[in-house]
Amino acid sequence: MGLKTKMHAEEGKQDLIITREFDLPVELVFKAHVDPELIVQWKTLPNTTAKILKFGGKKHGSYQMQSTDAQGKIVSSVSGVIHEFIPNQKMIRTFEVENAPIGVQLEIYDFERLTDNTSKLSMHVIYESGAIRDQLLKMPGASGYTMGMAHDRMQELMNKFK
Amino acid sequence: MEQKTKVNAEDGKQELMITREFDLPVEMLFKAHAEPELVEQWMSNPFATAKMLKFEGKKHGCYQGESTDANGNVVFRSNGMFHEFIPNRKITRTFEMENAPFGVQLEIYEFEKLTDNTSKLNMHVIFESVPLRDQLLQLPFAQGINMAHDRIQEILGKSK
Repeated sequence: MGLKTKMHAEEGKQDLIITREFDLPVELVFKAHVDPELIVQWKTLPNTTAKILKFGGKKHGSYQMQSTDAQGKIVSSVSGVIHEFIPNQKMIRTFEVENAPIGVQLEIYDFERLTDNTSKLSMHVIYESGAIRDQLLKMPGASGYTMGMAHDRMQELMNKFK
Repeated sequence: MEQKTKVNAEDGKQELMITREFDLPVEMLFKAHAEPELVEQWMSNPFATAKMLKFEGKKHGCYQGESTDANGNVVFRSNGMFHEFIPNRKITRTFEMENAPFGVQLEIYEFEKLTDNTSKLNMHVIFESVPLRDQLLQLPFAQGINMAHDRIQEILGKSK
């Protein structure tokens, strides 16, 4: 579990490459990333509930998401703008965790069709500095494993649409 | 003449640090970046006229600009979004030159007050890769941005 997602962080750089192959048509992988009702079901931190406050799923749209714990306390709030939005192909956005000292990230998602029923997601995440990237990688929840677990949930969630 | 705008490109990095000090209050320096009519003035030069087609100067707003030559041909068009927009302090935006192989850039502008009448602009420009950054540096990029900043000083300096 969680191991199918590969994260590559080259020494001394300020970016990350994350790749994952899914047993899903590319359309479903894209849908899982842009449909707010689906996003909240897989893109959550452990023991939290995610809520999408805003999701402009289009070029030049913006988004805002919030995670709350069991007591309803906000544990994280993230937001950004969507620079590019090409259905089933590409999404480029900014990403920021509010009130966290980790700056803004530029994220490029490439959705690639492999066969009718398989596809590949490549994420290129660029940080304001190498130091911020390295600091984030040390935090619990920022590892490739955690993202892999989320991708596992996504695979399972989207299976029913196949 | 030495260029007043300093472009620092560390070897092997995918970013640029650009700094410039202005004889302008920080409010005017910010205004030059936040009002489309002013952006058009300093982005224009003897060879091209800049026009902002869209400019929502606010957090999560978007912009699009184009430059045309004397014959009305579009020389280039660019667009992006404002991720952050804090008056007199900071603008974080995406930037893309349309139909050009430079990818998307993340640009962080910091506006710093030095004295009542002087200020400093710190630009941090982050590219998708080192080769994309280096390719842009092959163009007369540093001269171009220095000229544009000279025009900011000239245009806003008059209205001080």
